[in-house]
Amino acid sequence: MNVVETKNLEKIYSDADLEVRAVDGVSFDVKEGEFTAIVGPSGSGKTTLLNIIGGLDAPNYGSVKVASQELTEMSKSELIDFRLHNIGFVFQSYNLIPVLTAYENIEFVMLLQNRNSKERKERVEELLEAVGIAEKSNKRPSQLSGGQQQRVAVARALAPKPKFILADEPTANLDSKSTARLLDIMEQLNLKEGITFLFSTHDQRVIDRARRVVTLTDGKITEDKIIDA
Amino acid sequence: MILKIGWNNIWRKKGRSMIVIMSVAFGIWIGMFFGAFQWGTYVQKLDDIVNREIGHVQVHNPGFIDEEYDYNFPIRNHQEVKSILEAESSIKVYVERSIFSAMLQTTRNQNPVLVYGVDTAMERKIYSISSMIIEGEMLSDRRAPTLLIGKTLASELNIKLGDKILIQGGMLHGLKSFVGRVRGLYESPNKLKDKLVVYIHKSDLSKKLGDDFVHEYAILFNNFDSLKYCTKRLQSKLPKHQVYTWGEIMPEIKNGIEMTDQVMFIFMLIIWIALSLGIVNTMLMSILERTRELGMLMAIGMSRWKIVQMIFFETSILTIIGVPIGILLTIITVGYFGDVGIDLSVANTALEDFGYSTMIYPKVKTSFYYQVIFQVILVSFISTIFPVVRALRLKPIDAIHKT
Repeated sequence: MNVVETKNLEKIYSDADLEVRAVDGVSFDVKEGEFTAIVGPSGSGKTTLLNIIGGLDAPNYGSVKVASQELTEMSKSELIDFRLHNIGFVFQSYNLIPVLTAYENIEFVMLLQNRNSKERKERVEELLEAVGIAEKSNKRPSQLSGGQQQRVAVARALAPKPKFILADEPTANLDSKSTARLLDIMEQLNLKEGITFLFSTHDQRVIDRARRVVTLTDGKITEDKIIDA
Repeated sequence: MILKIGWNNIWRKKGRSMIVIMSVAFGIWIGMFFGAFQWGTYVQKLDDIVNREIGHVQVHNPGFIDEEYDYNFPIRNHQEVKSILEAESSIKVYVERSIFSAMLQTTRNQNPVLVYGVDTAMERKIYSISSMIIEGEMLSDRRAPTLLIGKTLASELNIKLGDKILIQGGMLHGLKSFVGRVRGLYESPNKLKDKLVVYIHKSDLSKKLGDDFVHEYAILFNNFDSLKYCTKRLQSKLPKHQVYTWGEIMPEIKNGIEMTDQVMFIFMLIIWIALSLGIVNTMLMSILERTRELGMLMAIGMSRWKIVQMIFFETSILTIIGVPIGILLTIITVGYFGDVGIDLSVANTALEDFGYSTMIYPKVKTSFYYQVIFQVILVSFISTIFPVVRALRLKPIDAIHKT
């Protein structure tokens, strides 16, 4: 089953006399349980494509469906609600809430979903365990290393039980050890729990773990390679 | 959790939050202190002039006021009026006076005066004239009518106790005059009055002028707050006479109070604008510093309404902390100055000349607390709208990548 379906996506940024086609006629699908990396050099349109799929940006043309729902037809508030329940985000700079602890950062999204306290507690503890930072649950982001923060971010993204996780350059700010640990965790979650991951990256360490690599060049898909069927 | 985020956000930059808290406290304090100052002035003026002299209302022959206190326009059938006043339940106390607009003459000088024929025992029900006497007494004298004149007038005309002076006046129906002896000098908070009003026993005035006229009933109601209603009611019972409120009798005092109100309004407006700018600036800085965080919150699914709640909560907390500090400052300062008073004579001696007391005792009325607190909360609320709008205009995609 397809989690993401895009057709002829185009995103054009135009200035006075300059037009940039950041995404140029992209059509591709992401199936449930995939561990996919969108790769390409800087400026190839990876982040723009991810933002469109995540409902953070709108294409100029084309269609993007997530969990069979057309994002381009949704209003801003519908998109916010859709993101809350269907998409988990992992950002390059972690973007945790600095005034909340690791535990609270993970719990916060479920609060937005109005989940009850028992359910929240169980889920947060399960996720803290899964990403290996249970002992740091009471620490604020400033008290955690970059790798630990990104693991909290992954847990936060998983908390609302989304249809898939979008990770924009998740390892860009991490050292090798933290990158390896983070990738291990994400890989385990993918393999054991079937969680769909879609990365944008140009980090070879991520590309090496991906089971599908979609290469973007100047906004167009130039290669779509299944590594492990 | 949103409340927790809001609460913790406040203490991220303690110094900045303290500025807002102190701005709110200062706004409350200065608003209430000056309100208390204004109210103190008002109450004092009412006490000095309205409650002690003019009364809440006065009953006159309409011609008396129109003809500028002409003696020849007394209240007709004053006994009947008196019995109506006696029967009126809303009236606390009333006094009757004869008023003779005249020229006071000594051998060398002269000055226009209003001679008030008063029943001292009756006047005591409103205010004891004798308590204003600073020299001599208002004793009856068989040889000549006893006069009590203001210290200011006495020093201007060089009149001393025991001096005989000629009072001569009359308007439409010829001159009337008599000689009286100064038996006392008085001093009131109203310098205008001290220069203009001469007191005489009403019986002496009647004897000398050969009439038993009453020109004025000065009335105090039981409840000043129902002045309008009581005035209307009294007027309906005295259709042939005119009931004037204190503001109509002394429009300069009423205008003065209204002018003070307007000055206070402008003053408060400036304070609220300053407070508002402070809050807008601080909250805006707070929003701009958290652009990425707000972008992330929107991206992960935090609704606009929850973001609005969070920002308003932050302002509310700052206001809630500032309000009691402001009230405490008010209680301390108004309490202190309410006892010792604020002497304005150094700053403005002209006040006295206009009949204003130069010692002001600030006083807060309870409704004022609610009023100012409401205003501060309103200002805080309005000031938060702009930062909120700025926050809501953020696009998550741009905000997240903001460096």
